[in-house]
Amino acid sequence: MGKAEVFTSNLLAIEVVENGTSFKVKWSGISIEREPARFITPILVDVVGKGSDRNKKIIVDFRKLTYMNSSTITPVIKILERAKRGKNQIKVVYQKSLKWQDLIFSALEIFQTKDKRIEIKGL
Amino acid sequence: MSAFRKKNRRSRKDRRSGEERRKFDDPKFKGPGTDIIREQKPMKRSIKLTVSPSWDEIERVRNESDEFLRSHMLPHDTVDALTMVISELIENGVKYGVFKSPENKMIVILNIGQSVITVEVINPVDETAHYHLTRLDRAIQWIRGHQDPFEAYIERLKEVSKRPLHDEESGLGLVRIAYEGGAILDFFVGEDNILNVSAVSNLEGEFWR
Repeated sequence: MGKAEVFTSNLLAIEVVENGTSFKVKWSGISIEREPARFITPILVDVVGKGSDRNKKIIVDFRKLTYMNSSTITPVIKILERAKRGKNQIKVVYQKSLKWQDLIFSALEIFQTKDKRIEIKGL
Repeated sequence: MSAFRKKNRRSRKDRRSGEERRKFDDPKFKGPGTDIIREQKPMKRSIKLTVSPSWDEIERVRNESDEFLRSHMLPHDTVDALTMVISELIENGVKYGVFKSPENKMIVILNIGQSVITVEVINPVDETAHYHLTRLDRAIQWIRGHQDPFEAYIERLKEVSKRPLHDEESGLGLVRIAYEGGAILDFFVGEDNILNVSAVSNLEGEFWR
């Protein structure tokens, strides 16, 4: 277990764990804020910056997320779109057995790169 | 505002066949094999919730809707999809409704029909909402213009992802309802300046991709 930080906003928690080779960004709870990007974007921008500086892979894990509103999807796809043009290694993990997660996150494969530097993976 | 009064409502009704409409609208109609279940345990097939135009209300309505849908033994995935539809529509109602007095509320109606589930979110508007109604109309027509809502969803994802990080508008809610919720969206404005936005999901066939 590496260094961990937990960020919470209402019913949503985002835990960022840094270990030797990666940053794990674990989402849990419900994201239903009116403007969730205000909470989410700085966390993701910071992790992406550190991942780039320290040459570590970023694993964004949504499996424990129960619900997210459409405003929550927005900061995630903006980060993925920007990461496509950078050098970060990002893997988005979701729970394939949950239909809503499968529908939402499999659609994010449009941000996947051919070399799987950006990867969307249902488990 | 009058431009939004009739045209959309008519198109929604037209989507149901005559037979389906007769069954759906006839309170005496009982589907095959349902009589015994109904006699043993009569269940309400619809709920109507009064909602204050506050963001904090969304989670309460989600929970009540979830409980109602699960009481009808609907699959988890169906319940998840419908509570998403309700959430997204209420969010829009809170954002764009015009609530001039504390008595002004939103109404959420959830109805389980023979073959469709209908979610209706009703809220007051006025002339200041014309810009929003025009956008709503365009968004619904745009979604309908796609053969598959998945294509519309992907197109919108690409567009939104390129916007500046600080731009907080999502623009994904309605297309998500069509894609993830498998629902047909519609709206009309009543004579009393009441906006009714509906999402109709088929319980058979195309509801689950």
